[in-house]
Amino acid sequence: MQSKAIVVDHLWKIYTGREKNIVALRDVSFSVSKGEVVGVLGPNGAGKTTLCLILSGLLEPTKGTAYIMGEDVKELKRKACEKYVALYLAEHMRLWNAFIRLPALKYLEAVGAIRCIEGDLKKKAEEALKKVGLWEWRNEWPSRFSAGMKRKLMIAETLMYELPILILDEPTVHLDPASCIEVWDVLKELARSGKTILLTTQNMEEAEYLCDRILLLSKGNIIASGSPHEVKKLMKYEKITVKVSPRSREFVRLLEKIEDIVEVMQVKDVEDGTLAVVRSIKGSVEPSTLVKLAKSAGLKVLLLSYEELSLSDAFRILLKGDKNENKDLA
Amino acid sequence: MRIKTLLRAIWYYCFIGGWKARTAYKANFAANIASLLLSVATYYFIGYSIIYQKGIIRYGTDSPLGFLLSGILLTRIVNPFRLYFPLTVKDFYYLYSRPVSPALILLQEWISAYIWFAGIEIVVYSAILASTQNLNMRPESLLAFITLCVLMNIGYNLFESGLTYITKKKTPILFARQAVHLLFSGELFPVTALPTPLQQIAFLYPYTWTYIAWRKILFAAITITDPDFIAFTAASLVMFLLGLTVFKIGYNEIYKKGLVL
Repeated sequence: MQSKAIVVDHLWKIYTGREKNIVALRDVSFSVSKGEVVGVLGPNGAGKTTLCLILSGLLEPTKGTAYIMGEDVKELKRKACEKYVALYLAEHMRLWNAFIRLPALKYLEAVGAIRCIEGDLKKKAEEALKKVGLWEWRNEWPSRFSAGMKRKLMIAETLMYELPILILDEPTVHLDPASCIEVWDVLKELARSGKTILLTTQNMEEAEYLCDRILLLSKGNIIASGSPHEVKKLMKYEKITVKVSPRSREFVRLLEKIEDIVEVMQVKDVEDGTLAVVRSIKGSVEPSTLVKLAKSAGLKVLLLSYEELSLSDAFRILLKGDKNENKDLA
Repeated sequence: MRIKTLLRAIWYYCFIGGWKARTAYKANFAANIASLLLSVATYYFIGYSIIYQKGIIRYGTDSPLGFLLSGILLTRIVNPFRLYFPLTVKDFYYLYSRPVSPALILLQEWISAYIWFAGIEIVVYSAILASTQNLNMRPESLLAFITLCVLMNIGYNLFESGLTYITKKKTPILFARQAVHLLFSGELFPVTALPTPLQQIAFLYPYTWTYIAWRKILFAAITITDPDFIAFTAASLVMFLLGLTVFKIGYNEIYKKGLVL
């Protein structure tokens, strides 16, 4: 357990309501090693925020427990936040009102002073600002920052707290693509410096870019886990893109009749023909089969490509089916 | 723009959208009706008390202007505690997710509110009050009053936040607070202007004693041994302890049940 920063052990959370109970987490177990970056992916209502809150000692689990640096969160309660976990809840966080009209560098120094951080505060604030890429704006007021810059400053703030674990709940939600990439670079840098990071997201690209390992959460269950590559490999499917000329919807109907084609993911009429993207069982649909099929319908194949499913496709498929099957590759 | 378009827009804004917005939630609808009745009652009692100067003397002054200004001033002084007290449901995780005492975060909210908003209002009202009224106060009483007033406000807001955590209903509690304060506190009109049964209720409300003690400190130079000040001290301490207890229950409720439902 010593090498593990987070251990989640058969965790349940049931919210009791007047009319019905909601199971937010259902027998969830996993662990995060020190220095690892783990992403929890899931749609709205999957239980991601609930998990973050339990791991930060702000919410009591119904059954099971979790250990943060070897200590039970049920015993730690809010001390989990004070001793080990820097929690960043994008939907709830705000900058400190009293300091938003100080230069960014002073803002961080002030936050460090309130947290009673020992040592050279100015140096630590400088390091944090450099890490999040706000050094150029050190003399600007945070009240004038853009949304992305404010997020980065809040991440710098969590660095000032000098806690070993960073839990981020949807850190890039509502940010424009450019700001997202800026925040990702900051997190990548933190991961390189050995920080243990658990982040929740709905953004597959984010998970693939940042995480050593991902957990797919759906309706409180972990439906798959492993590295992004492993999760994609978990799929026994591949994606085939085929373009035929001239335009023909009949061809799509013929494709649907092939037994090993699981679904037609996309059909689009383009300038010189019809483009179809289908999901099939790996290695089961030969290129020659598709060419013959097109020929039989009087069509010519202009494009034929086979590719691995994206993480986003894998996630969509896992959510659609195999709901209660826990596929742990870790 | 065509007349028909304009009329159609007005119809939608006033009747369809407006009426739906006001009646979509039972609590909002009830609050709208109650606030209408409340504002009528408030203005009635203000007018009634000022015309006859009814009961103002109970507060140590015979000047309606002094009475009104001092009430508004105290409200402005305590507003940062009441309005910038982010322990409501929405702000729970903002306060508790940082590895810093929530009390320190609250303190910075209050100080910011004084610096950026309330401070100027307080200076303006104080200046008008001092220049138009014959103030007669003891510094030690004023100091003791401010200390106890802070304690009462913290207790009152802890009580309200705790109650919101327990019931998970913000709008009715917020409305009840405003309604009770407007009618029973004596901020804008003396509680003695109320009918006798309502007066009896008013004296159970802790802020009633705050306004009595405040005005008597400003105008009648009362000491901390004055019965009204003693009543205010007791009300402050009771409110603080009650607030702490209810808040603790509310916090445990949120810890156990979360904020989802």
